[in-house]
Parts: sequence; structure tokens; C-alpha cells
Amino acid sequence: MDEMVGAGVDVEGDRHWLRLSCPGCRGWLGVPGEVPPGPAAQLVARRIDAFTQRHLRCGR
Amino acid sequence: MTMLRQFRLIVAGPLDDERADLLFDRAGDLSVEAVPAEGVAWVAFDRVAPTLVDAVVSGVRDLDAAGVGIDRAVDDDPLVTLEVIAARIGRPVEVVRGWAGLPVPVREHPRRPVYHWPEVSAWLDRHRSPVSPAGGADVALEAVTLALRLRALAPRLERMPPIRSLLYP
Repeated sequence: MDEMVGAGVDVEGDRHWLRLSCPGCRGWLGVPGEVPPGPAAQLVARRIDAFTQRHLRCGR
Repeated sequence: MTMLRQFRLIVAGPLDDERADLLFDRAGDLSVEAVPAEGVAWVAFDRVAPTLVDAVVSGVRDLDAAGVGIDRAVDDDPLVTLEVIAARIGRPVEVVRGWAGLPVPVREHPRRPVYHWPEVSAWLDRHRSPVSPAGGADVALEAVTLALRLRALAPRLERMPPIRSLLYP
């Protein structure tokens, strides 16, 4: 998670899902807040990685 | 065969936090992504189901229940991790990680590189495990999209049954 923030993505956790926002273009990603370790967590991590990659250029 | 099915539903209309709340209340195998600057949003699914059609139709029901409009069903996000590549070809991730010559990742990272699936798929076809066509995935996604468009038109049709009868010549 620290890595995402470092890449220019804000994380808001006021729900039972997590919202990651790009401070550059205001795009956002919502992922489940609680995922069991293992394959399910890897699938969520993949969604976060893809979102982060898409917003590398527009993030601060 | 029950297995992981990955696809996206492109959203029509607003996708706010309240609707996202409803979606995540209903299912834990999806993610929501919005790009306001481009006026586009989608819901991506990692759903275990017997067929892609079953997975997509159940995804449509999830969005219906959350009050989220749907424009169309499309392929999954082209950006993938090694874990997703391994899952799609049924090989251990350690094996895939060790393959020399994999296409250069679009995101270099010591632990979590990100690859462009069309490039990886083409490379696999040439050098390793040919990626079998996903059982007519394009056809399934187009069929669901056409059904959604017909559903949207139905309230404006004078009579629906004759149109429905065309599905069964």
C-alpha cells in the first residue's frame, strides 16, 4: 500500500471496500476491503497494479 | 468446467460511492474503476463459474441489483501479473517467472511486474503453451451485449414477443 501512495495514488478506507484515487486525473479504483490471503488477494493485487500502472503518468 | 472467468462490464450512467457500496455488499469478486476525465467506468470480475456466459450473466444481475446501468460486456483488463498469466495457462507461477524471453513488462518491478496480456499471449503461442481460445469468449461477450441492447430497447417496442421469437427460428 505504501508503494501505491508513493506512485501517486491516494487510499481512502472509510468503507468496507477500499477506494484508491489518482490525484492527477481523479480516476479511482474500488476493491474489496477484506480478502483472504492467497489467490483471491493476488487477484485484487493485480487490479491495484494495473490501476497504478495506468496512472503513473498522471499521478503526482 | 468451473474455473476463473475474467471480464468487464462497461458502465452506462453514474457510478457513485453509494452504488459501489451496493455492489461490494453483493459480491467480493469484483473491482470498480472509473476514469472521469474520459467519462468511462467499468466493473471487472474475477468470478469462478462453469462458463463465461454464466459468469457474465451473473455479473449483469449484480449490477442490476445495485442500480448500475450497463453499456456492454468486454474482455478483461489487458494488464496482467505473473500470477494471472500462470492461472490462465495452468502453470505454476514460479515456472512462468523463470521463462527467459517473456515480453518486457510494461511495468518493471522486482516482485510485481505488470505485463500486456496480448503480447504475452502471442509470445506463448509462439514459444510455450499455446493459449487455447477461451471457448468463444468474444462470441459470449457480444451475445450478452446484444441482449443488453435489446433489453434497453424493449420498453420502446410496440410488441416484444415477436422480436423474442426471432431467437428461436
